[in-house]
Order: sequence, then structure tokens, then C-alpha cells
Amino acid sequence: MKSLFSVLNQKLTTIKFANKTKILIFTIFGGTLLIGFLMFISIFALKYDFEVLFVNLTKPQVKLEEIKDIYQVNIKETLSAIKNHQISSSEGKEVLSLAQQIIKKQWREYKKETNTKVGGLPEFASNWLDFFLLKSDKPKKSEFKNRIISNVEKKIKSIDKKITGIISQLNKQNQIKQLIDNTILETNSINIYLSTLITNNLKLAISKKEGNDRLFNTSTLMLVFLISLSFIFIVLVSITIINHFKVLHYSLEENVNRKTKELSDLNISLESRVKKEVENSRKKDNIMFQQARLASMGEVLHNIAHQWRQPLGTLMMIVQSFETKYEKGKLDEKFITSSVNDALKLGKSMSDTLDDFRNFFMPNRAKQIFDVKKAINKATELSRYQLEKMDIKLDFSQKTTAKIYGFKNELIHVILNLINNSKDVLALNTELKEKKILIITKQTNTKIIISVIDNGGGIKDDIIAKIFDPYFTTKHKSMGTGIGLYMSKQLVERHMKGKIFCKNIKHKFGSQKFYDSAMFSVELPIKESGT
Amino acid sequence: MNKRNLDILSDFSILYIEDEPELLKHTATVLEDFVKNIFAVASCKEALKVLEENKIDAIIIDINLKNENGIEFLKELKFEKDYDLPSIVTTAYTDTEYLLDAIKLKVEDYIVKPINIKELLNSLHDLFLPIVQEREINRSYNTIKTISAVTDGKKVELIKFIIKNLDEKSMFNYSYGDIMEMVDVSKPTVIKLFRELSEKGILTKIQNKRYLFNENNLPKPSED
Repeated sequence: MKSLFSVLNQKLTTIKFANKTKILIFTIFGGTLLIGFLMFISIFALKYDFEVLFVNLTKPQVKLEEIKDIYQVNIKETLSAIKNHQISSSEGKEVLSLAQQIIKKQWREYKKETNTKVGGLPEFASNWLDFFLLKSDKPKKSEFKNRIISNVEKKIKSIDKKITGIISQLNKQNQIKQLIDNTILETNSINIYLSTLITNNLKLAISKKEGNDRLFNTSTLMLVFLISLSFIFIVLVSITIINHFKVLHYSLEENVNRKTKELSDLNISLESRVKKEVENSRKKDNIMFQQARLASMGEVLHNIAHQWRQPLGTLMMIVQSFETKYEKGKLDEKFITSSVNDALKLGKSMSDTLDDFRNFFMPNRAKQIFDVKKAINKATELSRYQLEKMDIKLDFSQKTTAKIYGFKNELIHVILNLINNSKDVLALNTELKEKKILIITKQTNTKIIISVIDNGGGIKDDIIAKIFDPYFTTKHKSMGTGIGLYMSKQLVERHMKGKIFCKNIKHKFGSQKFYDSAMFSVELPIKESGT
Repeated sequence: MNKRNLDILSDFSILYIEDEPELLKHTATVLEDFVKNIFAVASCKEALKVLEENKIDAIIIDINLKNENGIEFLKELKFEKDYDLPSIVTTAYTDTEYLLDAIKLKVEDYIVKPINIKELLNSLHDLFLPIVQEREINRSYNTIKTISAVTDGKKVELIKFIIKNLDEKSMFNYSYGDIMEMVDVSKPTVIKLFRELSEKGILTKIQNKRYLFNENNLPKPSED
């Protein structure tokens, strides 16, 4: 048994978890159904046996007893009384006929009751169970019983006849004496028959009871067997499922532990990676700023180169003029004084240009209060040459008197970037006849908005959201690095605590026509408003 | 050959157009010592006015003028206003954007800034030299014609023939007979002239029918 159990257990452990639960459910369901069915069958079968026992075998005995009593008391006693003349003939006649009727009725009822079929569900259950238990058909009523019954019937008839004879010859005392004695004898014999019948019936009942016991035992055994089988199976499956759960639990726990460890490891590595990425991004930003600085440096350098070229040419001319004047003998004091003055002036202006450049690109990290107007003028000055070259007219309203606290160079840089951005857009627009950039300022008590507007047609809707993204550029590679506007945004938002935004507007630029225009605005908090 | 005689510039008037005032002023200051007149202006409009009112011999113009283009102005002068003046352009760029236009306009020189004044003066010299030379030739021709009008015509005819028939080595390969056949002169006149020239070392007899014409022994013409 134990080995079987272990084999079964082993088999079960090999089955999949889902199948195990299915087996468990199936077993519980099937077992319960089977047991319930069997129980119902047994109960109904028992009920049937009981009914048969009671209705067919027990109840009719009462009738037989009554018949027996009637024969014993009414008929036999009455006949004795008639014989001994203890009652009148009429009285006897009445009693006898009454007794006859009662007997007939009782006998009829007896026969009827013994033949009553129980029927219905109990009989069906009993039959089914009999079939199931391979029991042979119910035993036929024994020959013996049948003969007794026929004898009883014969006796009843003969007694009946004799009593009828007695009744009809009641007046002839002597003649019936013999008859009465016969009848009494018959009565005794019928009573013996009846007793035998009762005994027989009781024996039958006893035997039936034995069958019933057997049935009960068998069903009980089967139920017990089924219940214990289901129980064992359920327990078995449950145990394996629990085992499965246990295994699952341990593996899950292990999994969770492993994953937790992995997660914490990942967390640690993520932290370092985030740190690294942040550093990288800072580095990238720095590189980008450097690139942007270089880009605008290039433009400004170009501008300065041009601003240098003219005074340099003049200066060289002055130097050469000394030689020619000397050769011509015209090198007088007047000429020398005026030429030297001019040369010095030119040298000073060149030096100033260099200072502008140096001031603009030296990493001047000291915050200061400065004039917005001057900063904007410086930016326009630095981009003047490029704009002139592309035939772009730049106007600045010069209205503001605001001063802000911060890095002057950064504001110049931002304005320069915006001008350059407009310039690049205008440069691409070949159809436009008059290319214009307008710088206007709007000032309140707490802030100043500097707007750079160009009539280059505005920004397309699909890119307007991306325009401040790093490395976003609509221009050809040779023209833009894509970081001018990004850097401007960073400078404005981080260093100046301001805002930068752009939108498309329509502007007249002082003419009759409305131009589609892009407007970039920088909003900055102001320190004080000069008078 | 490198050392040019810049004195020839002193006969000419020049129009100088440059939008950079300082450069204009100082370049003009240098040029005024060399040329007859320097008209220094900052725009094409002023330049036109100068052209209308004065006799100008050459133009120096900057290509990149404020709102204007020197090449375009030269085109306008040449094709619309019918001024055909020699010109020199100056430019701040080494690019060749306008070079082709300049060549088509037969611009005399293309000077890249900063201006080297020697280069500019040499350019002007080269520009004016043919004019000066043409004038000189004209003058010499007229001188000869005048001399021949007042002196013996036959001698002049003979000298003309000698100079005309010099070979590439300055040799004159003719006999008296040949000369008399081609030029209508008498033999004594030929002999007399040959002797005179021989005495002055101008025409030396190498062998028979072969004479060397010595240019260097010609007397310098008196400058007046």
C-alpha cells in the first residue's frame, strides 16, 4: 500500500501543476457525484425494501389474524352456542352471516394488500441496485405458500357452504349437529392453515430482512469504499499540489531574492550610470557651448577682419606716402603731423575693434549692471558687416533705458545669435527684395522684452516646437551648427532667469505691405530703469 | 626696365573713386605729387559730375563701393555714356568674381588691397606710356617734317632711306649705285653725307657695301 502510494505520488509529481488541479477538481466533483448518487440509490432501495416488508408482508398479517379471530370467536363460538342452544337461531344466523361477510371482505383485502406494488422511484432504485449488485430476480412466492393460500380459499369456501347449510337448516336441530361439529373441525383446520400462512409470511419477512441487511451492508461498504477512495485520492492530489506550492514558493522566493539582488545591483549600476550620463551630458553641453562660441566667434572674426582691412589699407597707404613724399622732397612738418595723427587714429580704432572682440569672447564671469541698449548696439555692431554683405537692413528702435544685472557678453551673444538666425533665414530667401531685421524692446517696471523680427517668412508650423532643440537646424551643414538657438535658450533661462520664445506674426516693417515674419523674444527681469 | 620714369604721369588727370574716406584722402595725397590733377571722390554720382566738368585721362575705381559696384559703373561709362577711358580697379578681395568682367571691359590692371602705391604708380605709368610714346612719335615726325621743310630736302630723303633700310643688326647694305638708283640724289651728295656721318661716328664702313649705323653716337636732342 505504501509503495503504491509512493508510486502514485511519484507519478503525480511528474504531472503538471495545472493538470493536478484539474485532477483534484475532477476527483472531488466525480467522487461527490458518485457518492451522492449511490447514497440516493441506497436510500431509495432501502425504502423499497421497507415498503415491501411492511405493506406486503407485515400489514396483511393483521387481516389474517382478524380472519382467524373471526373464525375462532364468531363462527366457532357461535356454532358451539347454537349447538348448545345458548343463543337463538335467529341470533346465530345473524352473527354467522355477518362473520361470513367480514371474512370474505378481510380475505379480499388480504389478497389485495399482498399484491400491492410499491412502484415509483424506490422500486426503480431497488431494481437498478439489484442489477448493479448482480442479484438474481426476486424469489417467486413459494409453492408452499400458494398451496396454503389455495387450501385456505378452499376451506373458506367449504366452511362458507357448510355455514350456509347450517343457517338454512337451523331449525332442524338434530340434523345440523353433525354439520356444526364438522364446521368447527373445519374452522380449526382453517385456523391452523391461517397460522401457517402467518408464520410463513413472517419467515418470508425475516428472509427479506436478511436480504435487506445484505443490501445495506453492500451499499455501506461501497459508500465507504468510494468515500475512502475519493478521500485518499483527494488527499494525495492535495498533498502533491501543496508540495508543488511549496516548491513553487521556494523557487519564487529564490527568484524574488535573485531578482531583488539583481535590481539592487542594477540600481547601484544605474546610479553610477546616471551620474556618468549626467556628467556626459554636462560635457556635451560644454562642448556644444564651445562649438557655438566658436561658430559665433568665426562670424565675429570675419566681421572684425573686415573692420580691420580698411584701416589697415589706409595705414599702409600712409606709410608708403612717407616714402613718396620724401622722394618728391615734400616731406614737410605739416604733412608728417597730419599723417601721424591720422595713422594713430586708425591704429586706435583697430585696437578698439580688437578690444570689442576680446571683451566679447573673454570668459568674463563677473556679473554687472549694464545697459540693455548698449548691449544690443554692440551686437548689431558685431554683425553689421555680415548683414551689409547680404544686403540686409537692421533697425533698432533704441528706445529702452533698462538696465539689467548679469553677464553683458551673454546678452550680446544671445542677441547676436538671434540676428544671425534671422540673417541665415533671410540669406536663403532669394525672392525677397527688401530683407529686413527689426529689433524692438518693450519695457515694464519689472521686465524687458527684446524682440528680433525678420521678414523671412516665419517659421514653419511643423518645426516651431523643435526650434530650440539642440542640433536642430533647417540650414545646410555649412551654415548652422543647430545649437545657436539652443544655447541662447540655455543662457537666457539658466543664467539670466529669463524666458525665450518665438512666434509667427505679420509685420509691416514701416512699409505698406504686411510681411510674414518670425519674432524671437527674450524676456528678462530688469534691475532698474534709468532716467 | 623696372625703374620707370614716373615723370610721364605729370601730364595726366586722374579720377579716383573710393568709398573709404581715409584711404581716399591718403591715396590722393600720394597721387597728387605725381599727376597733373587728382579728382578724389567717394561715389559714382560725384565721379560722373567730375567727368562732365573735367578732362580725365584715366580712372582708378574700387569695386566694392557703398551700395554701388565699380565694375558696373565702368560698364555704364563705356557702353552707355560713351566714355572710353583706361581704368584700374582696386578690390579688397582676392576672389575672382569680377575678374572676368574686368577682362572683358579691358581694364588695365586689377589691384588687390591693401594698395601698394608703387604698384599703382607703375600701373599708371604702363597705362600712360603708349600715350606718351605716341605723342613723342608724333612730335618727332613733325620735327623731321619741319626740318626737311627748311633745309636741303635731298639730304633728308637720303637719311630717311638709310634708316628705313637698316637690317636687324643695324647694318646698311647698299652701294652708292644702289642708293642713286633708288633715291633721286647725285653721287657727290651721297659721298658728302656719308663722310659727314662717318666723321661723327654714326655710320661706320665695315667693308664694301656694308655700313654700321651707330645709334648711340647720335647727338641728344636739346630739351626745351
